[in-house]
Amino acid sequence: MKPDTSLKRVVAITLFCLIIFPLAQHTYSHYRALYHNQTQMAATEVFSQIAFVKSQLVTHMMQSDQWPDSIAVLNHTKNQFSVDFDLSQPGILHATIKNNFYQKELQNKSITYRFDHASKRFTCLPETSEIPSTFLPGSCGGNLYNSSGFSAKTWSLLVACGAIFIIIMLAVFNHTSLKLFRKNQYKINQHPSNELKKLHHLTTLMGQRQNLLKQNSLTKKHWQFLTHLEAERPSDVIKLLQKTLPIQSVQTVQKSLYRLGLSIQFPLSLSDFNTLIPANSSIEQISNKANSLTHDAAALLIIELNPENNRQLRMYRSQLPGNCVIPNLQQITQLLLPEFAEQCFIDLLVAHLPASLLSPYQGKGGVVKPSHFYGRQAILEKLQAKRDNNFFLVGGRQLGKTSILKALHRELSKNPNNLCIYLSLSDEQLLPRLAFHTQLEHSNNLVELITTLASQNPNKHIRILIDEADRFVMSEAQNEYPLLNQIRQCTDQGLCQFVFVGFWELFAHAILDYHAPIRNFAETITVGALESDAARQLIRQPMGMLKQTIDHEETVDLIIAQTGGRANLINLVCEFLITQVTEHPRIIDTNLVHKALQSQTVHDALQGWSNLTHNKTASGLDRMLVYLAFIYDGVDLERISKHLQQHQMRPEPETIKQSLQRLILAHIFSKHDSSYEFAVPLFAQQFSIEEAEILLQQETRLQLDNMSSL
Amino acid sequence: MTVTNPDLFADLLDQHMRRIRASASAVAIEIGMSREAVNNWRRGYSKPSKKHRDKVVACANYLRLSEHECNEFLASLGFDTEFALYQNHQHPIYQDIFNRLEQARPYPILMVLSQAHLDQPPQKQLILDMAKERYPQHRTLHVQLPYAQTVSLKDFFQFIGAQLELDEVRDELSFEFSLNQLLQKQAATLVITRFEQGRMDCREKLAGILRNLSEMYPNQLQIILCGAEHLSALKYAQGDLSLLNIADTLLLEFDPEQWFNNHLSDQFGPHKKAELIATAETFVGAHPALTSQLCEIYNTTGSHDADNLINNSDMLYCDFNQVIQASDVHTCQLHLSKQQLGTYRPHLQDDALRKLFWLNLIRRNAQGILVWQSEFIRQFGLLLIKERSE
Repeated sequence: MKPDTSLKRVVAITLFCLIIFPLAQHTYSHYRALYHNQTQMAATEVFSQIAFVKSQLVTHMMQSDQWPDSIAVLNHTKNQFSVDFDLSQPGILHATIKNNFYQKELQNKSITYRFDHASKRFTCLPETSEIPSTFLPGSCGGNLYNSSGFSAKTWSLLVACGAIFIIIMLAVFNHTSLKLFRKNQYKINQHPSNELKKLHHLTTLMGQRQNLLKQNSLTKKHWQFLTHLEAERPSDVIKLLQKTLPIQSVQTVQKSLYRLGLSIQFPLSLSDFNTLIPANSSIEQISNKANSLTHDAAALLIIELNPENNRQLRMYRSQLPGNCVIPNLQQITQLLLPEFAEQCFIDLLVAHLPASLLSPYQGKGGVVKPSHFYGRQAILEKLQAKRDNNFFLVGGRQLGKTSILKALHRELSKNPNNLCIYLSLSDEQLLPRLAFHTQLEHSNNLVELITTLASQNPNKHIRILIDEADRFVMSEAQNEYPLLNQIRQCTDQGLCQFVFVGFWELFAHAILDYHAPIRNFAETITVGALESDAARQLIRQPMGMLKQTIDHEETVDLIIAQTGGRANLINLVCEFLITQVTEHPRIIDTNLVHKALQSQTVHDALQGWSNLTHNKTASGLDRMLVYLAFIYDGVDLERISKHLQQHQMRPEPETIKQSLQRLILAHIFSKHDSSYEFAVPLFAQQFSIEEAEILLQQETRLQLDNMSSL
Repeated sequence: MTVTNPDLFADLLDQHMRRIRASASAVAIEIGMSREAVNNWRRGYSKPSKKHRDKVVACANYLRLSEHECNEFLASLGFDTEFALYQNHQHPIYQDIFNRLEQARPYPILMVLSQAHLDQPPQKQLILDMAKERYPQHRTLHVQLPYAQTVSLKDFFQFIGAQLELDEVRDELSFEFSLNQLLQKQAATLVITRFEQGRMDCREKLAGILRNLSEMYPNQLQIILCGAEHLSALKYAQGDLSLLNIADTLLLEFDPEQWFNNHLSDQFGPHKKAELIATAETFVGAHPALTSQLCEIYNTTGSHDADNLINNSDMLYCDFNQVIQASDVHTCQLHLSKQQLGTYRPHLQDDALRKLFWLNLIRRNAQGILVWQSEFIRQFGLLLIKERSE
C-alpha cells in the first residue's frame, strides 16, 4: 500500500517556500539597489575597483614579496579607475576617490588599508576613512549592504505568508473527510454519497486521487460517476448497482422504479427486490409510491440521494411499508462500491427485514446457492477427478444427493472445456428430455444423439448428470437395459460421462443384483450424514450472516447429535431457530434448540420412510423392523427372527438383509457391532413404546393377511 | 333447512352436465351408479336417497361444481350442505400461505391441506386473486385436476395444458417441454386445486414433471397444491414423490368462533352471541359443515336445535360409514370408546383414525392430541355402530 505522503508534502512545500521566499526577496532587494539606489551603486563601483586592486596587490606580493611603489607595476594606469591609488608607504594602500566622480558626496574622499604580510590580507583602517559610514561596507565599519538585507517589514511579510500557507495546508490535511479517508486505509466506504465530490477535490489537492482509485478498485469513470451521483439518471444508478451487486435481471416497473432479480450467488434467500430511486421527489410522493406497492411481497430498496429527504425517510420509516429498506448516504456509497456493496446490502436487509424472510437455510430440495453448500469435498473431488468413469450416487431421501449433483454441475460449468447437462428424471424417458435440453432432434438411439452432441461441441468433455434415476433404472431392468447398454457404449467410446443419482432401486440393481449388466458399469458413491466440521459451518456461518448468536459450542453439538448430522434436519432446525429469534430476539440456547427439535417441520421431515421401495412386502418388513427398534431401542437379527417366528412369518434371509441395508442406506438405521440403532436420535422420539407396539401388531396382521391372500 | 325440490335438483343436474358436456354414462361410471339411475335423476323421475349422499357429492366433484354450487346442489335434495362457505370473509390463514410459500424458496412448493367440508381449498378464487396481486411479474395459473378416473394420460395432460394456456400439449412430455419454455421466459405461480382427485398415475406423473421443473428452475416456479387425505398420504406415507418431499405443508383449520363472529346475524347481542357459540362448540365442536348449518338455524329461527341437527345428519351418517368401510367395526368401536385418540401426526398410521381425521370427525386440540369434534358426534358414532351390530 502506498504510504500517506500528505504530511511530507506539507513539510516539503513549507521548506521550499521558506527557502525560495528569502532568495526571491533578496534578489528583488538587489535589483532595486542596482537600478534605483544611486548612492549604493556608486559606492559599490568604488569598492569594486578597490577590491580589484587589492586582489592584484595580493597576487603581486605573493609572487615577489616586494611592495610596489605605484599601480603601474601592476600594469594599470591611473585613468583606468575612478580612484587614485597611493602605494608610497610600504604596506599601506591609500585610495582617494577622484574629484570628477559622479557621486558628489564621495568626491576627494579617501580610505586606507593595511597589508598584513603574514596573512596576505588587507585590513581596512576605518579611523583614517573620510567616506561616510553609509557608503562604507560592513568590513570597514560602515553599513553599505546592511540596509539592503531583509527589512523588518519584509520579514513580517515572509512569516505571515509562511504561516498562512502552513495553516491552509494543515487545514486541508486535517479536513474531516481526509482524516476519515486516511483512517480507513484510503477506502471511501465511510463517506456519505453527498460528500464524495468534496473528497474528490481534497484528494486531488493532496495528490491522493490515484491512491483513492487504486485502493477502492475504481476506474476514473466510476469515480467521476460517484462524484456526480445526484446529477445521474436513475437508470444509470441501476446500471452501476448491476456491477456492484449480484444482479442478473432488471425490469423497469415504473418511472424510477425497477425490479431487480438476484443471482444464485447472493447468499441470502432473496430472489428479487424493487428499487426506487426518487429523483427530485418530495417525501409525500416517495411515501405514496412505497405504499402503493404494499401488495407486492418483494423488499423495496429506496435510494434517496437528497440528504434531508434521506434523513426524514429513515426517521419516519414506521409510516412506510414494513418491507422498505432505506440506506443512509454512507450506505449508498457502499452500495455503489464493488468491494462493499454485497455486505452492505446483506446488513441492510438483515437490519430492516425479518430474518425468517432472509434465512438461507434450505431444508428441502437441492441446495442452489454455492454459499450454502457445505462439506462433501471428498465426493466432489472424486466425481471431478475421474472423468472417464461413470458414477452412481446413492443415498436416502433428503440426504443431499441433489445438492452434490448441483454443486458438481456448478463446478464443471466453470470450465469452458466441459459441457455439463443436468437432468431431473421423474420417469424412464431419458432420450426425449436429453434431446430437448440439448436442442437436438429427437432420436431413439442414445449413441447417435451423444455423437451428434460431441460433434457439435468438439474438444469438450460431455458430462450428463441424471437426478432421480430410480424409475429410469427400474424401467431399464424390466426391459433388459436397452439404454444402459448404449450408455456403456458411449462411455467405452469416450464420448461422455454419466452420473446417476438415486436411492434404493438404483442401489439394488447396481450393487445387489450380481447378474445385472449395470453392475460394474459405474463406481458407486454412498451419500450419508454431513461431515462434522461442515455441519458446524452450516449452523454457524448463516447465523453469523443473520447477526444471530449461539450461546455455546455445546448447543451446536446438540443440534448435530440429535439430527444425526443430516443436512436437511440441521437446516430445518436452524430455520426454526431463525423464525423464533425473529419473533422474540434472544441468544440461541439449548432450550430453544430443544423446542426446534420438537417442531412440526422437523417432525414432518422425519416422515416418508414407510415406503422405501415399491415392493409392498419389503416395505412392510421395513416398517416392522422400525417398530421393533422403537420398542426395544434398537434391533438385532435375533430379535427380528424371534418376532417373525412368533407370527409364523418366514421371509428369506436375503429379504431381511436387504431390508436392513435399505434402512441403513436411508440413514434410518446405523449398525453398531451386531445391532441396528436409529441413525438420527430424533427419529427415535416419533412413537412411544405403546404406540409402536400397536402399530407393530397392525403391521404384522396386515402382512399375515397379505401372505394368506397370496 | 332447505325444502326438498326434486325438479330443482333435476334442473341443476342437467344444467351442470350440459356445462361441461358430460354424458349420463360418464357421470354414472365416475360415481358408481347405473346410467339409468343418473338419467332418471336428470329427468326428475327419481331422486337420490340419503344413503346416496356421497354419490351426489362425487357427482358434484365430477361436474366441477364450486363450493356454493355443491351446497346448492345438495340442498335441492334436502341434504346437509357439504361446505362451510366463507362468503366475503377471508380465511384467517390465507395471508400465511404466501409467507410460507416465500420462505420455502428456492423451491416454493406448498401443500395446503383441508379436512372434509372445507373445499380443497375454500375460496380458491381468493387465493388466485391474492397471488396475482402479490406476484405481478409472475404468470398466475389455476389448474383443477379432472375428477374422472377413466381419463387417459394424454387427455389428462391436454386438459391441464388447456387450463394453463400452454401451446401444443399432446401428452405428458409435450406438457413438460411447453411449461419448461414458459419458465424460461417468465416465473409462474401454479395453484393446483383438488389435487387428489382423478387418476393416481396421472397425478404422480404431474408431480414428477413439476419436480423436474422445480429443480431445473429454482425460484421460477411457485406451486400451491391443494388437497386432503390422499395428497397428505402421497407426501408422508408414500414418500417417493420427490415433489412432495420438498413441499412445505399447511393444514387449514376451521375456527368456529371466528366463523360465528362473521356469520351470525346482528340481531344477537354480544352476550347472546357468546352463549350461542359456546353451545355450538359443545354440540358440533369445530366441524365446519355442521357449524355452518347451525349458524343458519340460529339466524333463521333465533334458537338452536343442535341435538336434532346431529341425530338427523345424513352427512355424519355417510362419513361414519366411510370410516367403517375403510377399516372395520371393531377398530371403529375401539376408537369411539375413547375420549382422546393419541398424539396427532402428519400421517396417522392407523387407517380408521386417519379416515376419522380427514373426514373431520376428530380434530387436534391445542395440545396436539386427537379428540372427537364433540361428545354428541362420538355418541352418534356409537349409536351407528350399535345399529350396525344389531
